[in-house]
Amino acid sequence: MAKKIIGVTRLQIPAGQAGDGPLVRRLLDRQGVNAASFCIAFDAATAAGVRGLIPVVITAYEDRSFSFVINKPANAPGHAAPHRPADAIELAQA
Amino acid sequence: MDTSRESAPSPAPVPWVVEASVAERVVLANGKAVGRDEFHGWLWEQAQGLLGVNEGTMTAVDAAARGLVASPLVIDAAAAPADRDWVAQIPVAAVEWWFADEAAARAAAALVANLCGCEVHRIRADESADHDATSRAAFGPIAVPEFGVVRPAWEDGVAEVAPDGRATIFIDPGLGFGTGLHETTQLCLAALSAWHRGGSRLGRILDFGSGSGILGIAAAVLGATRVDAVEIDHQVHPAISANASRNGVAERVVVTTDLPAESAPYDFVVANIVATVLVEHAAELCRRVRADRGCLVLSGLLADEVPRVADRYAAELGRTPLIRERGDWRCLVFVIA
Repeated sequence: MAKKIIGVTRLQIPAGQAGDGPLVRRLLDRQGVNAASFCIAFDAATAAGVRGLIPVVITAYEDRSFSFVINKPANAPGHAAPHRPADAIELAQA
Repeated sequence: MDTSRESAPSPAPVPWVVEASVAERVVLANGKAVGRDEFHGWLWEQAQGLLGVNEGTMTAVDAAARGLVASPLVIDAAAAPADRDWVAQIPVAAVEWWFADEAAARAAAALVANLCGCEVHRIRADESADHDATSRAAFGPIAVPEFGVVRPAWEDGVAEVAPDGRATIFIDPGLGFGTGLHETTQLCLAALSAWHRGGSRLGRILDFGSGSGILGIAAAVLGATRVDAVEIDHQVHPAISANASRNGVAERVVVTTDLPAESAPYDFVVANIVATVLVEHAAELCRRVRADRGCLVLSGLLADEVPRVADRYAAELGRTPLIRERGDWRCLVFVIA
């Protein structure tokens, strides 16, 4: 279903450790995105592989669902995760 | 009597934030010029206690104003494409580095002082209401007016209903939306409690958009015989089941991704989602409520969204809702009798 984009948020958070920390919750709440759902999905997507800070671009939609793309960490060229879109996570703020 | 629950919760540490501007390239102390991502990676390795980097948000309107997209009406058909990294295209980005404590923040600020391409503007504690809310959700029992208390899952005790009707339930606040803290959840719990105290039947319950499962679980603790918890995000299904088990109601809570194809009518239907989804499912949800004696509760609404949703449901049900409010949030209660 085509959806209108509200905006994008760029974060760098430790792989597998989004937890449900204040930074993520604070930023995503402003966008109407369910921070806990994002954290679960991000941690699952980054649980294996590269350590360290992971750049992630989160797109927030008008219906308060979201999707995100995980980028390759800049400081891990030798063993970087592929630059791949994470599975689109579409979830209304329930 | 277990007294450990009564002890004061430990306050969560307050994060500290370093606000800085970062150019597209930063020259490190050793003379090496690095890009912005690499700079953050370098800081991650050098600084202690870095929780994360907020590189900022760009709205579709801003992106259009900067010429990054043709129109602010950006429509996305599926997942976000990798090239929609609008924030990374800002020449000098305002960033926030979040640290575990003040010492870590100040040490990091000293580390980047005098680097060409990076300028620190401010070091501050994040004592926002959001953070307080997070801390309370993480550490403290939450008193919910009319309903009772929502306690963190790891505390001692069992879910129960006191003789005066006040309930105690246990929820893991880190799993799925619905910690009991948000106004929309509290409004639903209050409506559920009011229905129960009024002597109405809590037999079959539909919790549509279940999140952590808190609403369906609360209904089960109050005595519902069967709860269908519908949650589109299958990743939180184990969390709903875990929360149900913690409250001793696992055998009465059935977790699904979609509405059961056909089912007997529900005594109580609650949907704490968003206006768009509520309107989309109006006919379906109305059809599921018992026509002789049932209750339909809709939450997740801001005040200005009420007319659209109320009108749609009023047309289906032939009656107007009672509106509960808390802060900016509204909850519609349709009693069918």
